[in-house]
Amino acid sequence: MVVREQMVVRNHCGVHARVATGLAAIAEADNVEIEIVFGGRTADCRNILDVLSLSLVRGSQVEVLVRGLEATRALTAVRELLTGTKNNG
Amino acid sequence: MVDQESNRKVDSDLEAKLSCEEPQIIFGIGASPGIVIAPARVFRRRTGSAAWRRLTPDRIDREIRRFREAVTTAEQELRQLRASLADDLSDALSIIDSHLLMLKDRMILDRTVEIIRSHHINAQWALATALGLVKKKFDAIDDPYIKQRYMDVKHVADRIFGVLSGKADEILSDDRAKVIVIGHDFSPEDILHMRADTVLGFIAEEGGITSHTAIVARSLGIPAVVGAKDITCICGSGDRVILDGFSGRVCLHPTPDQLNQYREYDRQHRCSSRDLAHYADLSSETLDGHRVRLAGNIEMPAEIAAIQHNGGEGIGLFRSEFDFFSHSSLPDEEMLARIYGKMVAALAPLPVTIRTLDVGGDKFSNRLPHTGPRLDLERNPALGLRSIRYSLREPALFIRQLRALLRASVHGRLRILLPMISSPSEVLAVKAICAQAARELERKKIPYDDRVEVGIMIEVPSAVILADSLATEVDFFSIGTNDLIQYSLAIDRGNQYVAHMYEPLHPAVLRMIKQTVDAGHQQGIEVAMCGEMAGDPMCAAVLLGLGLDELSMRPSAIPHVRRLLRGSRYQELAALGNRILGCRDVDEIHRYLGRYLPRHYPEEFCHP
Repeated sequence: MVVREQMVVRNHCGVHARVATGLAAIAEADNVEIEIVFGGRTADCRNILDVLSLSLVRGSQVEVLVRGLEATRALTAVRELLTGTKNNG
Repeated sequence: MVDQESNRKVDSDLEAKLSCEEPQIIFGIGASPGIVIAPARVFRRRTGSAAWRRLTPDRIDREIRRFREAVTTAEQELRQLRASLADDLSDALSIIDSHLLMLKDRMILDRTVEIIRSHHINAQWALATALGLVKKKFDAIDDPYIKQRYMDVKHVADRIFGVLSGKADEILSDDRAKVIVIGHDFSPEDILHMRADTVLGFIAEEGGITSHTAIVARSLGIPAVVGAKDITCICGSGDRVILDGFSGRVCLHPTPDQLNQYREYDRQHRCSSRDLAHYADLSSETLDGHRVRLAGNIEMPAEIAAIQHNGGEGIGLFRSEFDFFSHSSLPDEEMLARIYGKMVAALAPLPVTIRTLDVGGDKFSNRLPHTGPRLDLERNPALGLRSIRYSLREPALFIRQLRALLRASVHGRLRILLPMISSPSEVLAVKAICAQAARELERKKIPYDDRVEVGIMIEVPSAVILADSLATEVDFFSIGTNDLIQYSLAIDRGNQYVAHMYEPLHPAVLRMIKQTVDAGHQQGIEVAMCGEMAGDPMCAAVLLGLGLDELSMRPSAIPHVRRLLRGSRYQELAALGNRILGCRDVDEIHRYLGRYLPRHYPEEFCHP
């Protein structure tokens, strides 16, 4: 299954190491592939350095693409991590 | 012709002078609070790190295996460290998790393997090459916070280097004496290993306050100073050092006076925060009813909580740069108006002082517009296009911020603070732009408070001299001591040769403060101070005695200064101010305060 969604990054300091680590953890836990598309570039969330070098800051509009059996659940978790403001600076 | 011989002689004399045990002060960045006095243990950077070695084809697979094993060993070390940490160190745990991911990231792991295979070279060299490619990628990142994460990648690569070259973790080594550890750069994991009670604090040449190393130091309560340039060259193992993690100051070979002073600071900071907590709720007045406003300096709206927690009576300085540097594009008026409006409303009716963009020198972003020649060509940035000069040169950006500020003014008591004013004409120029901003809002029928206060920073000597003229043009003054001291004493405190001459209690500085206060009061305007000095209890009594109406400081310093204020009589403070103004040199001032403060404030300044 593949799901995709546009979202706007809300983390106060952007997608820094902790958020990027969180994305990798979701991919691992739900055994899915998560891709973030931004500015014509795509990063696989298992590669933390690719994700960091997208340089996503608060306000960046991204497309998130999730592949796998638990894609919907994983997408919800990604949305919470990137757009919720709780606990991720 | 250049006289080589005598040049060499001068060089060696200079070197001799620097290496002898003269007291020296180095200014870094306070990364984790606390004061430590201890001998240094210096780790010098290993030079000539990776040697280049060409491999014969039959050695290649073996080299790749060696590299993979090193990664696995590094991973095991990290996992062991992670397992040894308590769950409450959540910051540290998530940092280690991110390092584990970096360790196995394809830009490190796969690429190093590729380079070994395609170039037939040894693992260390291949890893260094891979790291260089990652650096290139991070160099292109605009956001300063994310860009800084390259340091984490480097720490991770260093860990693999360490395994490959069979280097033991030296910081863990046998030392039984309690020391301050000094080095070029420490990884978060180094700091986690330092929890051993033999390491009292650390000082690094690299790093910033938002580096992961600093974050871990704070969560462990290990005092730390980062960004202390060249300290591993100036300081040797065994040298006595004072580390002040509050101000970022490091004293090498301290004098007996400095030792006493810092022991007193230390005692004071340790005196349990419980004792101080109730001072957060009390009013800021002397025993005889003289009121002074104690406010906070912050740079992010989230820090308002710290001001409220410590009983701050407003914001004396909000540094507005963060929003200009941290987003994908320059902030628009809507966004700034929203941020400022929320801050003003959160503290209403207390005053919220927002300083307009203060960029230039080391604080520049590629994203900021600049017309004309490139800014990095300035030979002397401290005297160059910075701060209000930049804003006046880029009026479109400036008016956007002013409109946002005016819009925020309806939510409470906003004060607009203009940095680095050096002559009245600049104030007039800003006022004209401000009036234009107001007209534009009127045209769009957007409400603003037309009585919003506009004040200026007093941080250039010419502004002190012209304070009487400037006072007729503005609603308040705020003295910025960090720059005022540097400009008036002609001291760059980042320069190791002269930093020790940076002296807040210099008689010239104190007289300038007094002159500014008098000029302001003559015109009936408030005079505040928002430099580091305002939060230094050694200076606070004198500053209160010079008649300042507001002291603005790190939020955590507010209860200390309030306790001092509440234990004073204003008449005595004024007498102290006068007495100190009569002193002719710094030593005399220190001697006098050394007697006066413990006698009048035994609670703050006496040894246990």
